[in-house]
Amino acid sequence: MRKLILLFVVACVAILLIVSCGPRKESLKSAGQVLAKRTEQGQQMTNPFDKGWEQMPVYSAQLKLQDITEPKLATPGVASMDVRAVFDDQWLVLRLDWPDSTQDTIAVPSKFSDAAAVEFPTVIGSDVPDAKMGKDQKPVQIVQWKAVWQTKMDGGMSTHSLYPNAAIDHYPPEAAKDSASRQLLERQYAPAWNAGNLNAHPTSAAKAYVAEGFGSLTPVDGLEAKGQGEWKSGHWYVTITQRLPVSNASSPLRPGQRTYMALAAWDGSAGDVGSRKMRTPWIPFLMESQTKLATP
Amino acid sequence: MARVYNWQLGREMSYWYAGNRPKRQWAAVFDINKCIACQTCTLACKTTWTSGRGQEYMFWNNVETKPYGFYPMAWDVRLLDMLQAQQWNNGHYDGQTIFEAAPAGERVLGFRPEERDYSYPNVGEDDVYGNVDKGAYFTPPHAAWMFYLARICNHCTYPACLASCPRGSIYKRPEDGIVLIDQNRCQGYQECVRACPYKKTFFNPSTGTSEKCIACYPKIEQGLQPQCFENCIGKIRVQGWINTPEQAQEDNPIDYLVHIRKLALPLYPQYGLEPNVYYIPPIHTPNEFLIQLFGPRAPEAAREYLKAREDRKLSGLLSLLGCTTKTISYFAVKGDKAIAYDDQRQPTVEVPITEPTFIRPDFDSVREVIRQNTP
Repeated sequence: MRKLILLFVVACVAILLIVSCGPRKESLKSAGQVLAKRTEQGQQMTNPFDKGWEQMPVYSAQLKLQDITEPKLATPGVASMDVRAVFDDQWLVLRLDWPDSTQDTIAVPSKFSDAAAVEFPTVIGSDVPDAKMGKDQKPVQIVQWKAVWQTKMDGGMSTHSLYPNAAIDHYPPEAAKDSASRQLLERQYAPAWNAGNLNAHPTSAAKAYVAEGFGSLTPVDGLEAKGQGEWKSGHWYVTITQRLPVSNASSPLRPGQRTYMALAAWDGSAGDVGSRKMRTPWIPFLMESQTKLATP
Repeated sequence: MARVYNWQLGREMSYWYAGNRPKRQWAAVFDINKCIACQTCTLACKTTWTSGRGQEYMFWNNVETKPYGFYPMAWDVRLLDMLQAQQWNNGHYDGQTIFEAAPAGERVLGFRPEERDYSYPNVGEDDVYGNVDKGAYFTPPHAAWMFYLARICNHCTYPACLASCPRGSIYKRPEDGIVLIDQNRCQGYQECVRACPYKKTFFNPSTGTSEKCIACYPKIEQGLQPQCFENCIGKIRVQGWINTPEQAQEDNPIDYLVHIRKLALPLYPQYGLEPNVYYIPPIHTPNEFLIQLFGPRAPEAAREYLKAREDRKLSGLLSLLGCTTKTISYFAVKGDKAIAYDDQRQPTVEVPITEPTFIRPDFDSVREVIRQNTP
C-alpha cells in the first residue's frame, strides 16, 4: 500500500513538472509594465480577435473603486483587465479584455453601457499629473470606448430597434421634401446633435478627450481614435486605436520613451457611468525600441 | 458643501455650490383649483419641444391626478420614503433636505426611475382618495377628494440637477435663473435624472444626453409667457419674476401671491431646492396631505383663497391669469378693472374683475327667430 501511495505521489510530481515546463500562456506575461510591440500591421490588429494578439505580452491590471470624488462607485465592479499593445508608424492599438457577465450595449433611462478607457499623460518626465483625470495645467489624454456608440453606429439605437412594437405617428423631419432639408431638420430636432455633441452622432465607437481634473473631460477634435469591441462568453474583447503624434519629441507616446498609462472600466448593469467606475493608478508603459531607452 | 440661505425653509442649508442668486428669478404661480386636467399644456409643450427621436416618452409638462397619479411612477412617494419623516417647527424646517441627507459618496439623496416607470403617464387619473359609499355622492360635502397637479421644471434656486452633474453641464442663467442643460457638454450620465426630486430631467437615448424644460426661454426673452402658460384652457397659470421675501414688491404679481398674501406655495419645499413654481393649494384636500406637498402654511393658504372673492386686489390679480400672452411683470387694480404691465410698465391687458352678464332674449327680433339651447 505504501509503495502504491509513493508511486502516486511521484506520478503527480512528474505531471506537474511536465506541465510547468511546457509552453504556457504565462510565458507572455509582461511583468511590471505594458509593453507595446512594434508591428507592420497595426491597422489590421484593430480586430480584437486577430491571431496576432496571442503573440503579444499581456499585462494584467488590477482595478479599484473610484472613491475619491462624488459621485463615487459604492460597490466594486470590474476587478481586473488584461492589456496588450502594438504600434506601427501611425497607430497605437491596445487590446483590452476583461470579464463581464452581462453584455450592456445600449443606454436608455436607467440603463447604462459597458465601456473602457485608456489614459496617458501628455508630458514626459517625473512631472506627470495624477492618474485621477489629471490636474489643472497638467492635462491627461483619454480615449474611451463605449459599447453604446458601437451600437449606435450599427443603427441599433433607433427607437424602432430599441422598441420594435412602438407606434409612432411621425417625426417632424419626415415631412421634409428632400434629403438635405430632412438632414437639417433631424439635427434641429436633436439638440445635442445640433450642438455638435458626438454622443448624439458618434463617428467612431471610441472618442479622444483631454482632462485637467475631475469633471473636465473635453473631447479633442484633432486626435483620431477608433474602437471595436466584441462580447464573448462573459468577456469583453476591445481594441482602442489612436493615431500617434507625428515625430513629436515632447510626446510621451514614441518608441523608446518610458511613460505611463491608466485604465478604467464601466459595467453598465451595475449602474457604472461617468465617475462611477473602476480604475487603475499609473502603470508603466513602453513602446519598444531598438535603440537605447529614454528614462521617464 | 457650501452654506446657503433658503427662505422657504427659514434657515441656512448645505448645498454643493456657494449661493449666487441670478439678477432676477423666473417664477410662476399655478392655481390648482382651476385646473381641469385637459392636458392642453402637456400637448402644447410636447408639440413644441419634444416631438423628436428619443423624446417619445418625455413630458416636460405633465398633469397628474393626486393622490394616485404619478409621472414617472411614484416619483414623489419614493423619495419621501427615502427621506423619512421630517419636522417643521413654526415655519422653520428642522428636518434634512435631500442635500443634507445624501448618503456617503453621493451629492444628493435620489433615485433613478426605471424605464417602465415612464410608461404610465395617466396612472391614477381621476381616481379619488378612499371609497365612496353608496349614495354619498348625492350629499355634499364629499369626503372623497382628488386634484390635478400640473408640473413643469421648477427652475429651482438650488437645483439638485445642477448640483449632481459631475461635469458641470447644467447651469442657471444669471439673467433670469432659468436652469438649462448644455447639450454640447452633457455626456448622458443621468446623474441629474437621479437627483431631481421632481423627476423633470429626462434621458434621451437617441442623442445620449439629458434634456429638460427650458421655460420656453426664447419666448421669455421676448417678454412672452411659455407655451404651456399661453395655451392653458383653465387659465390657471401666471409667469413673472420673484424677489426674495425681504425685497418683495406689492405690484409684482408673483411677489404679491407668494410673499405678501402667502397664498401660493412651493411644491415639496422640504427637499431644499427652493423651487420657483408656486401653487395655490386645493381647497378641499385634507390638511395632512396639503402640508406634505406644500409645507405647513398650506391649510391657511387654502382658507385665504376661499375668501379671495371679497378682496378686490386679490381677485383682480387672479382674474389676470391666462388673459395675456405677455409676461406680467407688474399689475394694478383700478376700480372694477385689473391691469397687467410689462417690464417697461406699459399696460398689456385690462380685464374686468367681475365678468359682465349678458342676458339674450330668446326671440331674435332682427331675424325673427326663436333662439334656444335645446331643439
